[in-house]
Amino acid sequence: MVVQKTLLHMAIFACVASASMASAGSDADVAKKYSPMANTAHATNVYWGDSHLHTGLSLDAGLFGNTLGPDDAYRLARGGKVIATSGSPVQLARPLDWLIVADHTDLMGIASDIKKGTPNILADATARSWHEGFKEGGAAAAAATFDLIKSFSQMTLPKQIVSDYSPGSDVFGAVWSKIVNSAEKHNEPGLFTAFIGFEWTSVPQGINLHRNVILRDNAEMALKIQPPTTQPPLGSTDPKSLYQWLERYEGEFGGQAFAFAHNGNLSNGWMFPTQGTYHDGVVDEEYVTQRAKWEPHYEITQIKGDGEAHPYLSPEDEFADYETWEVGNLDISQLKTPEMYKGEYAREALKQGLVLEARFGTNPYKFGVGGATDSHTSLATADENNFFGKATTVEPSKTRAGEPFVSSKLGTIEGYALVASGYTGIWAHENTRAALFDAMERKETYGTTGPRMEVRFFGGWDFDQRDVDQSDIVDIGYRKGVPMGGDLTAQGDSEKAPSFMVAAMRDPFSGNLDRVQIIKGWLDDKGEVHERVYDVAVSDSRKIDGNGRAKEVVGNTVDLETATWSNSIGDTQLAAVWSDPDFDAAEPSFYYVRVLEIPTPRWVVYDKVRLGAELPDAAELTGQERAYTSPIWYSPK
Amino acid sequence: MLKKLFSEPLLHFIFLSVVIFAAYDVLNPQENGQQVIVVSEGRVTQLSNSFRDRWSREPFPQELEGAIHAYAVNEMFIREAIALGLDVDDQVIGQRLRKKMNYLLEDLAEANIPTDEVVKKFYSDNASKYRSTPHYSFQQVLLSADRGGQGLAEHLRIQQQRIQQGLAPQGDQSMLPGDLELTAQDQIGRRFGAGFAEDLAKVEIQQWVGPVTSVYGEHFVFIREKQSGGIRPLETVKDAVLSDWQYENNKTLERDYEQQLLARYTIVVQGAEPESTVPMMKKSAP
Repeated sequence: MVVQKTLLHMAIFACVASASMASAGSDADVAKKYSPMANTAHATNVYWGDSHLHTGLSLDAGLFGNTLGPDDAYRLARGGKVIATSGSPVQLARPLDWLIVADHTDLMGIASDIKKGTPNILADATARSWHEGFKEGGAAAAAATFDLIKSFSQMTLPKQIVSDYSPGSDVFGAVWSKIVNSAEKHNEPGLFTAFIGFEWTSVPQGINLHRNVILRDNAEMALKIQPPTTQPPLGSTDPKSLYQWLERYEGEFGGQAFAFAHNGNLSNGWMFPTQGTYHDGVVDEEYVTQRAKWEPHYEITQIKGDGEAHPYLSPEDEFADYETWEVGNLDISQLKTPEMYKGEYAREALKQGLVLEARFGTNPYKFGVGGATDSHTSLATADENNFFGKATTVEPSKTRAGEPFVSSKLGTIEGYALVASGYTGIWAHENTRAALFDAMERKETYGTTGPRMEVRFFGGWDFDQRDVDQSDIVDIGYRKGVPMGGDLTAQGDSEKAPSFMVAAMRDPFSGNLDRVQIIKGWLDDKGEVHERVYDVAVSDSRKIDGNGRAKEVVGNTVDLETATWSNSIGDTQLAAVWSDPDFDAAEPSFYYVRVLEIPTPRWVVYDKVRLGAELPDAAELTGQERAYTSPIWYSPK
Repeated sequence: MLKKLFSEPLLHFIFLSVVIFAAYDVLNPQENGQQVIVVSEGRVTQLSNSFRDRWSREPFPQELEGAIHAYAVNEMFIREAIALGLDVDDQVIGQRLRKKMNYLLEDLAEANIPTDEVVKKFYSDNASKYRSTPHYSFQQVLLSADRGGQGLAEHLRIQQQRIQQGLAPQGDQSMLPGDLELTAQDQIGRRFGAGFAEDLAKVEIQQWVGPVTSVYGEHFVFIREKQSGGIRPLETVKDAVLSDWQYENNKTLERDYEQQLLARYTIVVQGAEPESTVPMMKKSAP
């Protein structure tokens, strides 16, 4: 009896115990997954930065007179106040979250030596003349700098000079260490990310083929290597040599890095080749594979012109002619001709990438996009009302808008044509080198011409109109589709069109939004590529017509006398779900978002109002700032 | 007599010096006027490590011998160069030596560890550097400016009624966060605009209040918790205070050292120069 009672008690106890343990177990599990932010793999925040900034360490920046180094660059980026080379105090309205200081690797260290007049510089007649020009200052210094840049691009630099400032030399190594250690010092995971990077300055005969390189790694890895240059004998201007360096960096040293180009508009057609490359190569299977592997990103907008689209290539797009530079190559040693445009602009490259993929199996121009300044002042300024220019010679002054910026026998690029652009927004879950680098590689990024509008873009097969009104719109986006930079593949035999969800919110420091557009490019069965612009959300209840366009313009509230505008037009937020009405499941395609603000004053108007600058008649005074997202690609296979 | 001699201190002195010189000769042999390059064990290890870093493998014996030989020959060149006075007036060497002096001064500065009283005084003297901004935990509901004047005013009225009835207001969908936890005022300013962030300081907490204006429209907010800005307690900013103090200390040490140098050295500028404004410069005939 006692035994039975005991057994009964034990059985009850066991049941109760296991029941309570079971519920405690599931409580604990539920508690673990309670906090959404901690349990989500998807990107939760947008982090703003400049992916391309030069300090006084760059050979040309230093000679233009830049006295600020990486420490000052980081200080400004993080929200601190800095005295610009020209003497004005400068501070960003809001700090950035990350920065890539990408100084030129060619001739690292030469700028300060030319300034000082070191024995090796004075021993060479050409270098000596640069030193003397620099000592004189003003116009003579600028002329000396341009002469150096010209010799550099035309590859007529004195041999000894090149060797003194190439990988292996003490000066070169010392400057690289300085760059790396400065990045390490300012890198604070979670608060601010300072990437280690550099610019590989390929510009043969003035044809711009520049690439920036970003490292995922820390100083320990970066100091094991010497970055590549472009001047022979140690360097080469052929991107193939850069890819070889990257292969070695990853294969032998175990590092992680990628390269990204900019200023197709100064390459005179050579940036995005489809048949022959500038270096007498051929666009073949090897070329497309290497390019796709090492260049997953493109700098679509910056101070030297906007690179998204050109009116010659996109005659139906009334917004394509924005901050267009079309005079010639980088040093205007060769003028522009219309056949060149095809190899220069991002939208066309995305289209040609589909052609090359069909031919060779890999799309070499399948890049995510971002914006940067490429400023040589150490100051990452891209706001119209706080623009410190491309170089220290064009920091704010009464004359900078009225004087030519680059001039040659063949042509001129005017001072007022400089663009106060841009920044890159990276969608990631934390502010660290690893998280931001990975996000750039998977292309969850977008470029802007300076303002920090928040843009979300998803593509899938099941989005519907109600999704855009839900409070968990972002969760829905990731659950039902892929974010910007992602891929959609054919849904079996279905002809169902993909649907896209976009949400954009204005930058509180900039203007209202005019419209959100989706731009489609596709390859038809005859091997021809096409493009089309669709308005998907427009402000002020304007109507989108049967062709997917809202032709009514948003208006213009800019007051040129005071450099202000009113947000009485445009909307603070725009969102939509849109499905492709012209979808053909057999056609490979891409879709990216372009967001336009209402017109606001360009930086030249602030110069006029604040400094009394006289603006040439030809100067553009207002513009519609914009954001470009990385595309989502659709593939029939 | 001999005893007296042996107790003579001068003799001891001479004896000791002979011993010392003899010992030196034994420990530092010089043959036939040749000089000796000593490659220590530590140096050999260093050469081996350098090789390994560069080539990712250990050196073979003959490679290590080659490296040692190259190092030794380099040392010989350097000694000969110094003997010839080639290091004098060399700008690169001069820069390097100056840099080394600066490093020494930095090391000296770092060796100076401040007492707690010194740190406290520095902290209170520079209190303005260690302020924190106000932080807010709050919910917000947006009535979008995109509704337009009439629609917005009507909607505001409806929401105010709901608040009076003890209900939470309802707003428009947006990408703005509906709930923020202990967020600094400047962070709030970055998302909503500076005006909105400043206005949060003026409204009552623990209840739905509004409308508070931002660039996106009108908001109703419920502030759960508010932490005022103020001077952060020393314990929370100790690292920053210490770092700032060291920076100042470093600068002071550098300045003092320069003053010492200027006191010890006289600057003489040769040539027919106009009157110098620097009082320490002495003129002399060319």
